[in-house]
Amino acid sequence: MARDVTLKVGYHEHFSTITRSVPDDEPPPWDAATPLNVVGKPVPRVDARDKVTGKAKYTRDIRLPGMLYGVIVRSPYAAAEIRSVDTAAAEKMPGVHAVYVLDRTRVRFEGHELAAVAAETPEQAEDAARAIRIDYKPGPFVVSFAQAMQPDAPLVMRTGATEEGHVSAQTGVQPVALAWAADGPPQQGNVVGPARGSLFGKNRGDVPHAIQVSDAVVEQKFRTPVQTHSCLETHAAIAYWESNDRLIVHCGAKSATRTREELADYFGLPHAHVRVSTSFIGGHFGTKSSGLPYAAIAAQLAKRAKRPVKIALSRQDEHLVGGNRPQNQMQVRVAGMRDGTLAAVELINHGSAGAGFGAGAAGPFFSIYDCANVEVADYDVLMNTGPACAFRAPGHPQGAFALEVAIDMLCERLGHDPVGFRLQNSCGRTPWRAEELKIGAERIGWNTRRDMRPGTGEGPLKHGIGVANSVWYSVYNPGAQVEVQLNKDGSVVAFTSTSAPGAGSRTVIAQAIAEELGRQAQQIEVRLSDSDYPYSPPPGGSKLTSTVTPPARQAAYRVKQVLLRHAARHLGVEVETLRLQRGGTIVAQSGKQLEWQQACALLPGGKTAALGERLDDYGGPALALSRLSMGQDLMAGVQFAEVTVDERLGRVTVDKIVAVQDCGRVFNPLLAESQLQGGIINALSFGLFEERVMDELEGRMLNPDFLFYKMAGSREMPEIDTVFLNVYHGQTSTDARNLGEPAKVATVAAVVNAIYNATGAWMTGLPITPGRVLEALAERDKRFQA
Amino acid sequence: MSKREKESTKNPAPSSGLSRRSFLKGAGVGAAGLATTQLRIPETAAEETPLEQSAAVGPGCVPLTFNVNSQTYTAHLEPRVTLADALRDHLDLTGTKVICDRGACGGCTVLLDNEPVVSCLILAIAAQGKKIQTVEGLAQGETLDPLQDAFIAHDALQCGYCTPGMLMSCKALLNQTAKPTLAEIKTAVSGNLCRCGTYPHVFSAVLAASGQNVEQDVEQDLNQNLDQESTAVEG
Repeated sequence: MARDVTLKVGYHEHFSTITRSVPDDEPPPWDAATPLNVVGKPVPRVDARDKVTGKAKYTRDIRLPGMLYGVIVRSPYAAAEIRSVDTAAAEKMPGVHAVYVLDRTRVRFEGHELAAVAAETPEQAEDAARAIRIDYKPGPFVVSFAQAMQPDAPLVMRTGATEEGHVSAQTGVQPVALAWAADGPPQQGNVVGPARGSLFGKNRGDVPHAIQVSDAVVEQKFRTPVQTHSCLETHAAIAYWESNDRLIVHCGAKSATRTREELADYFGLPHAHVRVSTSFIGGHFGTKSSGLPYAAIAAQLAKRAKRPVKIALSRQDEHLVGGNRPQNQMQVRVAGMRDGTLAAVELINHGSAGAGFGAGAAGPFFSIYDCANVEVADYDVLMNTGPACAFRAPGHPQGAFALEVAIDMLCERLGHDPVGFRLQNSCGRTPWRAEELKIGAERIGWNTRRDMRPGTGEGPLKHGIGVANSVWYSVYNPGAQVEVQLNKDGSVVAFTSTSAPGAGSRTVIAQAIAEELGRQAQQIEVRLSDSDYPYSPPPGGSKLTSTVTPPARQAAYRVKQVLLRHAARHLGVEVETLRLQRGGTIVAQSGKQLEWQQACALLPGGKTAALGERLDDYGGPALALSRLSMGQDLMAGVQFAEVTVDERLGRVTVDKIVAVQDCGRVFNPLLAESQLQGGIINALSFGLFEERVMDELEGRMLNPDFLFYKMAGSREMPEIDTVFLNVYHGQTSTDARNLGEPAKVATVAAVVNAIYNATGAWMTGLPITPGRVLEALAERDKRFQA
Repeated sequence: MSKREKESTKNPAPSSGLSRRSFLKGAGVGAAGLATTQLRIPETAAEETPLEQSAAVGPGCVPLTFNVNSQTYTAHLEPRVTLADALRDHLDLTGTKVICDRGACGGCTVLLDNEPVVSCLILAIAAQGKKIQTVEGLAQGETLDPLQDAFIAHDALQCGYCTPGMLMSCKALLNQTAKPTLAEIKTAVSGNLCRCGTYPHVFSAVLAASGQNVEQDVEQDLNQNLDQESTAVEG
């Protein structure tokens, strides 16, 4: 049963109405005209107090009675056969209660798990781990594109569902994105591919012809390094057995339900016999989607020791096996016409997810421009390095870096203004991007402060301004559920299995419920991250706010109907005459009223609960997979960068970033600003500093720490000016979209384009170290002389 | 194996009897090297301690006494245990985080006699006799420190894992400088890594906590939010 509802949709000065078919049990959808009290307001995050007082308990902080500390023994070799594992000495070490040897005869990367011990103190466990004797037969390995793509290169592994390396309890390997099916593209040596399309789009048009008839073509190679997630809390789990067939796990994995299923399947237990929970998670950024293999190893040790066992990865282990952003070598062609039309874009990408899959970078090529001719080919290159996994906008910061810099190169070739070119070519599917470009250009001073002749400024300090586009998708999980419980004392508690690694899931859920019930966000207790709670997906894909706020609101709406029914009976009025006011007072048309707590006290049995469910977008999905849907609307963003380049030292200082971003309805401008700033800062760190350095002779990572793995810190912070454009689509009862990933997509390209504007030198390899800048300046000087 | 006792500081626990010499002997060269940059070594009864008592400390557990947040704690620890691990694993003060474990991220920052130090580079045994303040000691009962309030109001935290260290570095700054400049704030937290990227909001929070105008506060951003205006007009 559905009803037609007219909704006001659109964005700044571009509003219209649309009629949507809305299921009868949905609350009246909020649209652009709905006045709201809690949603859309800068509500402080509801769990902030726990975090500033040190009371917030992360997995690493939990200590259970009798708990042992586990340490995993890992391969120091990138490739080796395992001849034997001798644990006799370790078993006799002081404090040791359990030793576990993995069923693994071959290791494929440094850090691959082989054995584990549990002892009474972390120090004893480390001593015992060192006493385990492993007889390795080191073999040949590949840790760079050059090594891996040699015709006679040693093979890292074969692809295919039955091969080691695929997602399994034994390996814990995750595909980076959903682009790859188990029966994926062909494999030749270590090169797997090409994939000519993904979740983000398909090839279209006729690129060779479009290039042939175009007025200008730019052809350029781009390289990006491996970036490790470097979550401040490393992967950690505590496992214990309640009985022989019931396992309890506190785990820093962001999906309690998935971790439950993986562990239950691994141990051959009914899913309901495994309970996975956590309260706080110290960052994820895409990793921590699985509890494998570390939580399974903790459970194996706990089974043997008959005591709880905690495993927390060291910082070094986190760099090696905690996931990473694949490295990419991207060959790009873009072609344009004299009238400023983008004629064709082409990408041939070789990416490496190490001993894993999914290093595509094509998303931005499909999605940013309205271009009629797009052709991509994504190849995975296998290496003997720790497997990559999803990392904040998989493939997109890399792909957008290559595409958006190539577009500026084309603009220069055609004599077109980069903002004007983007207005002309990237505002069809996302017309509000034009508004964003205008706002951003105004705020950075595009027309007044930009150097019109790159590299010709006086003196060694050169200033420049650049622009770049971003794109993201409206991803959501239909079927996600939130339970809202109302108690006779007036308290409201929400339950759902998603987790809260930092973006603010607790807060947005509390806001949606508070708005519906006339409460304040702080009055709603939100309990998350427990596999016994109703299912909602973990954060990832930038889908949380759009996935969980509609069911949270629907559940709150349903308990409200129950509450109003009891209030109506008590007041002797028709329920239709009642209104729940802000502050919780229930007022009848007759003037009779009940305070919130008086009404709640009427609940039979002292409480009532309702389950809300995420329906499909009212307009239907563009693409529906088994658990995940892609909505019809893209999210657009633009970023502008202002930089200073010291040409003597090759040093780049980012002075300012202006970010104008669409994230649907801005649910909480305070937290949204944090998210947008955070994405920009992570991108700056990726573009300017971060790089996993591999030793090609030894096959080992040279900088698995925070000393030599350089990340942006406080002194590298530019001024960041954020502007949000609310864009209403009328697709759900809250019309929320998401923000985590789009924030990170455009930044690096905007900085590189600004460096060109300052110096006349193109940066085509990341990170933008002083050495690379000096090389690029030398190239420029050669070009200027020629 | 650890024992926690809360006592009033008015009744300080007896000295562990460790001398400077025995500490150095027990802790080894690494800690001695650190001592020159980070620590002043406790001078508890250094001259009076008989030589034979100071001859060997560890590798087994030794009784240690700490003054943390104006409370006295005792524990039996191996001399190799760092202050950060002692706080977290043995005194159940898990607000202090161990993130890089090598002094490179500031996550384990605590105040030692009012100086900010990274507690992962200090042996617990060397922190005896000093006033240790951790994030748990910032609030007075239920009343938060103004810095903590400012962190909440300005959303200077996301996942919250760097927050305790960030707070302690900022607290140390405000203890010394009533109204720090933006540059001074950046320097004060330059040893604190935040992976979520909360730095701009940390700067705002410290400015606000020291009673200074915050240029880019959220209200202003809200006003600049074009659609808020149009919603106001049409909504």
